[in-house]
Amino acid sequence: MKRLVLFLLVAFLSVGLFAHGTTESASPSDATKGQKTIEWWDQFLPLAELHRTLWDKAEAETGVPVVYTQYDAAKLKESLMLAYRTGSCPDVFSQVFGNQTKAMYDEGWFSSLSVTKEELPSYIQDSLFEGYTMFDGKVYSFPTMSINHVAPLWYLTNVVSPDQVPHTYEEARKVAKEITKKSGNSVYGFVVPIAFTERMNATFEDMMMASGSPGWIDWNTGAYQYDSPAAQEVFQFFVDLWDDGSILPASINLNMRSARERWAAGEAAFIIDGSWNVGVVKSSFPTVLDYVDVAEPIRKDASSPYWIYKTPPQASFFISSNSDCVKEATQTLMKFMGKDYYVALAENMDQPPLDLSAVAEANVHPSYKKVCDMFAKTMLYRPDPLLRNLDVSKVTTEMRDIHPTPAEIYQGYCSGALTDWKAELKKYNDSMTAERNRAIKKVQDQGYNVSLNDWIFPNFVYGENFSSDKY
Amino acid sequence: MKDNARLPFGGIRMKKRNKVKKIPYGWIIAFLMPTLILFALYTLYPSLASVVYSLFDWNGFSLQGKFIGLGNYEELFHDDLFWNSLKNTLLFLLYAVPCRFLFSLLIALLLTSVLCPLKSTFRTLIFIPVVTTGAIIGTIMTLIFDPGNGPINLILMKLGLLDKSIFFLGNANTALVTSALIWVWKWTGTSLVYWIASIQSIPSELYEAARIDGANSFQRFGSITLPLLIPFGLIILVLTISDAMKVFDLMLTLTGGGPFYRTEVMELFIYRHAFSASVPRIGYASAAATIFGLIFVVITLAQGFVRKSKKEEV
Repeated sequence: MKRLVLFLLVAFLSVGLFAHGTTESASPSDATKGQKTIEWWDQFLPLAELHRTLWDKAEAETGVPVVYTQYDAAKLKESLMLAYRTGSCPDVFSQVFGNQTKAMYDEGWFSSLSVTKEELPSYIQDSLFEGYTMFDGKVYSFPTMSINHVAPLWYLTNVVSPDQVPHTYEEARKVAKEITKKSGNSVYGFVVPIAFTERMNATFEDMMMASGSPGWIDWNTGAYQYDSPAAQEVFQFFVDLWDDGSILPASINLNMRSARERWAAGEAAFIIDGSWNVGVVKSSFPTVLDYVDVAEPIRKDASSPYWIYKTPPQASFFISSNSDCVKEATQTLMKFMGKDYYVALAENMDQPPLDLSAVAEANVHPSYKKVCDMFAKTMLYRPDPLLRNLDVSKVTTEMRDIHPTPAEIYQGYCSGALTDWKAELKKYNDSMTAERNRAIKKVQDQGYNVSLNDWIFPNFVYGENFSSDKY
Repeated sequence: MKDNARLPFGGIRMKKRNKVKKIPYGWIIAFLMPTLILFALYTLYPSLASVVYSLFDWNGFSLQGKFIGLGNYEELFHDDLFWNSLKNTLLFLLYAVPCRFLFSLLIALLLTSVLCPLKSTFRTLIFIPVVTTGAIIGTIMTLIFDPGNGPINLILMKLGLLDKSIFFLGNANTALVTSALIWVWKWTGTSLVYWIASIQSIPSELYEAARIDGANSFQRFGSITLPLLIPFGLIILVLTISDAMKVFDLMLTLTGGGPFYRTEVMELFIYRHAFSASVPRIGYASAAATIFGLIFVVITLAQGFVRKSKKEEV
C-alpha cells in the first residue's frame, strides 16, 4: 500500500513537471518560433508609442516584427551584461553604458549596420564620428537626439511671478528665501534630487560652464577642475540654499522622479532639470502643465553670453553582434531619421531631436520650444580625447570610480556627515588626477600609445565650437 | 534480534512475522534529489562561481576577465568604503537583531498570556508588514519619515519631544538606526510566530506544578519559561541574524545607501560595484561577496558552537 502511494506521488510529480515544461514551450515567445523577430530593449518608455509606429512601418517592408521590452536604465545594464555572456543579447538595444561604447566595440558587442556611410543622408553623415558611431570606417549606429544639458531652471508660474525669475546665484538665493519664508515653509524655493548623484554632478558641471568655466577639465592644460573657483562657486550656491533652508529637506533622499513629483505637487517653486521635464509633466501631472515655464540656467553673471559644452551626439541604439537579422534591424533603425521622425520625437517632449529645427514645426508646449531654442543658441561641442586617440578608451575603462564625488560630498554636507566640503573637493580632485595617471601608466605598459597630452587641447577657446577640424 | 534494528547507514530493519523487511532509503533520496539539484544549481554553484570570479579583474563588458589572484582582496582591504559597508552591516546587526529578538519575545509572552484579549487580531496586525514587499515599505516609509509633512515628525513635535523636524532617513547620524527600526517593525511578525510556537511547546503541567509549589509569575518565568526557551532562542537568533544580513531591497528603496554612504551595507556595496558603477567590476564585487559570505558562515558557526555547549551543560 505504501509503495503504491509513493509510486502515485512520483507519477504525479513527473506529470506535473512534464506539464509545466509543455506549458513553458507554449509561451508567447515560442509561439513565434520559426518566425524571425527583432528583439528590442531600451529604457525609453515615453517614446514607446512613437517607436511602435516606426516598427510597424518597418515590419511592412521587412516582414520582421519588433518585440519590445522596456527596462529602467539600471536594470537594462544588468540584463545586457548577463545576456552578453550567454550570447543572447537582443537584436537592438540602447546604449546605457555611458562613454564605454569604444570598449564595448573592442569586446565585440556590436554588428555594423548593413549600409555604408555614403548611403546615409548628409545630415546623418555629418553627425558620425569614429569612436562614437563608426569604427574602422564602418557605421555602427547614428545619433537620433541633439546635444542638451540639464541646467534649465523650471518653475511654477502660480508660485513665481515673472519679475521673480532669477538669473544669477544671488538672485536665486534671494527669491528662494523669500518664497520659503512667505509660505511658512509649505513651499520651498528649490527641490533638488540630491540622491541622484549622477545628475547632480552633471548639473554642477553645466552650471560651471554657464558661468564661463570649461567644465570638469581645463582643456588647455588637461587638469581636473573639481576644486576650481568655478566649481566652488556653484557648490557654494547650493550650500547657501541648503543653509538658508530654501531647499525641500526631503531632497537628501530624492531621486529625479520623486523630486519632480514634489515640485509638481507644489512643494517647491524651482527645479533644475532637462528638456524632458515638461514631457513628464504632460504625461504624469497634466493639471500642472499650464503653470510650467522655463528660464536659462542660473549663473554667476547674467550680463555676458554663456555656453554649455557637450561632446558631439552619441548613438542611442546599436545592433548586437549575435543578431541574426542585421539587415532587417538596419532597415528598422533607418526609420529613426528624417523630418517626420524628428517632429514626432519633439512632440514627445523628451530629449530634443537631432534636427532642432523640427521643434518649430512640432505641436509642443511653449516651454519645450523655449528650452530647445536655448540649446540651439548656447550649446557647443567640446573636445573629446577619444576622438583624437581611440586608445583613450582603454584609460577610461581602466579608471576606477573615485568616491565621494562632488554630488556625494554635497549630500554629505546636507546630511551633516561633513562640514569642510572644500577640503573634500580638493581631495577628490587630487584622487582623480592620481587615478588618471595610474590608468595612463597601466595602459602604456600594455603597449598602447596614450599620454596626458591626449587631454590637452591648447586651441580650445571658451565661446568657440570645437569642431572636428580642430583635432 | 530487536524488532526494529537500526542499519549502519540508516534504515530500519523491521521484523515482520518471520521475515526481515528493509525500508529502502532510495525513495528518500529520490524525493530529495530535486531539492538537492536546485540547491546545487541556484545556491552552491553561484557561490562557488563568485569565489572564482573574485580572482579576476573583470569589467563585465568582456566575456572573461584577467586572472589577478588575490588582487581584488588586496584592493578591498585598502578601500575605505568597503570597511564602511562592513561597519554599517555590523552596526545594523547590533541595532536590529536585539530589538527584533527581544521585542518579538515580549509580544509573544503577552499574546500567549491568558489575560490578553483579541490575540488573533493582534497577531494578524503584527504579521501584515511581513507579507508586504520590502521595496514598497521602503518607498512608503520615506513619506512617513518625511521631515516636512511626515506623520512621525508631526506627532513627535505635537508631543513636545521635538522642537524642529528631523529628517531621520536623511541625517547622517540617524539614518542607519532608523532603517534598523523600520526593518524590525517589518519582520517582528516572523520572530513572533517562532516565539509563540516555542512558548506553546512548554508543557503546561510544569506551570501547574510550579503554581502548586507556590511560585509567582516571575519565578515561573525565570525557572520554567526562560530555561526552556533558550534552545529555541538560539535558533531564532541565528535566523534573525541571517535575516538582518539580507536587507538589500529595503535599504535600496529607503536610502539607496545614503546619505553619504552612512547606510551602505555590504549588499549595496556589492551591487554598486557589480552593476551601477560607470565601469562595472564583477571580480571586485565578487570578492566583497565572498568576504560577506565568510562572515555569515563564521557567525553561524559561532552560534552552533554556543548551542552545542549549552546542550552539553544541560
